[in-house]
Amino acid sequence: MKQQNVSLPDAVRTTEDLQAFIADVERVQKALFSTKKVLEQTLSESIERNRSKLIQAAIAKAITHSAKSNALQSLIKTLTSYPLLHLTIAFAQTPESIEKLSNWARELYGETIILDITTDPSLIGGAIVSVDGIYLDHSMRNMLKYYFTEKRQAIEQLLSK
Amino acid sequence: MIPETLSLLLLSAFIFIGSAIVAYISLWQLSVLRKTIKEQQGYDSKRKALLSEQEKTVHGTFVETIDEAQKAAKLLLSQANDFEQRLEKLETQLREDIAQKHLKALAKEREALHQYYVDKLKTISDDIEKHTAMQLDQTQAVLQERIKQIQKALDLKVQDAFQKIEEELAVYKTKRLKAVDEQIYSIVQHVSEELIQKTLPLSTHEKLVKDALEKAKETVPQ
Repeated sequence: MKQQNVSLPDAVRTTEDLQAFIADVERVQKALFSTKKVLEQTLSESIERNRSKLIQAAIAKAITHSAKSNALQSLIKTLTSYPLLHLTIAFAQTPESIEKLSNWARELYGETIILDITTDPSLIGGAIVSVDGIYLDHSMRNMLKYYFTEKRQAIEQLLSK
Repeated sequence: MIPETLSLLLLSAFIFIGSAIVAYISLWQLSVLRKTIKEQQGYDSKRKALLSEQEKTVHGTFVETIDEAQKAAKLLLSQANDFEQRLEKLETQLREDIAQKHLKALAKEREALHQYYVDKLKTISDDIEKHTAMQLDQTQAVLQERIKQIQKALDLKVQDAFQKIEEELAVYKTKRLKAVDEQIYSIVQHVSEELIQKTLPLSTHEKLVKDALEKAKETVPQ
């Protein structure tokens, strides 16, 4: 079975992925200055396979330890430069739902967007989106609130009868 | 031997003669002393007699003097008694004079005072009547003015109180309605959370999030 190559943005869809990736890169950076065996062991055993491949690809062209370290630093820089999209949702996240949401977000905001997802059941449904300095509460809770504010007079009239 | 005895004899004779002389002189002195004592005794008796005579004379003079002094004292005492009686008489008279004078003056004063009050009483009832009427008029005017002021103040207070109650009622109504509103909202929210959020299928949830992402994208400036 042919192994599919994963791109860097594919490996980093959420802030959790980002933190885990940066931690892996730092681990490899430490291992660089140890023995070759330790480095190989770290890359093959301690790190998730897709991330390991991406890290190896990043340091493949570098010859010296210093050059490899610089390449890893550059990788961290690239990862941290990806834009963030804060998303508050009402339901519990699953890997499938995260992938779906990430794909939709990337269709709309670009391939490198990273999701920072929080779950808040009080939203009832919908989501709160915060991206590029825009904050949008498109939750059902907010809709209910809006409805109650709008229909306040009607409710008051109903109550005063 | 003979000269020695002789000399002893001579010495003895000499001592004898000497002793005889001394004895004679002593006797002479004794007689002289006796004579002197006798003279002294005579002088003393004379002196005593003289003294007794002088004493008698002095005693007589002293007794005379005392008698005279007693007489003089008795005289003085009688004179003093007279003077005292005269003084008492004078004092009593003086007191009576002064008392009479004062009594007369007092009677005069009392008469004048009596007359003054009689006159005063005659006019006082008229004055009281006039004064009371004037006071009554003034009091009535002041009271009417005061009643008007109180009525005005009361009206204002009642008006204020009504306004305050109306305001409080409005505030209470608003608060109450807000509370009811919030309660309803809270109930609806709770029910929505419990029912919709849990019963909504995952696909619908995801669709709603997709809608939110699209809406946000529409808001983001290009």
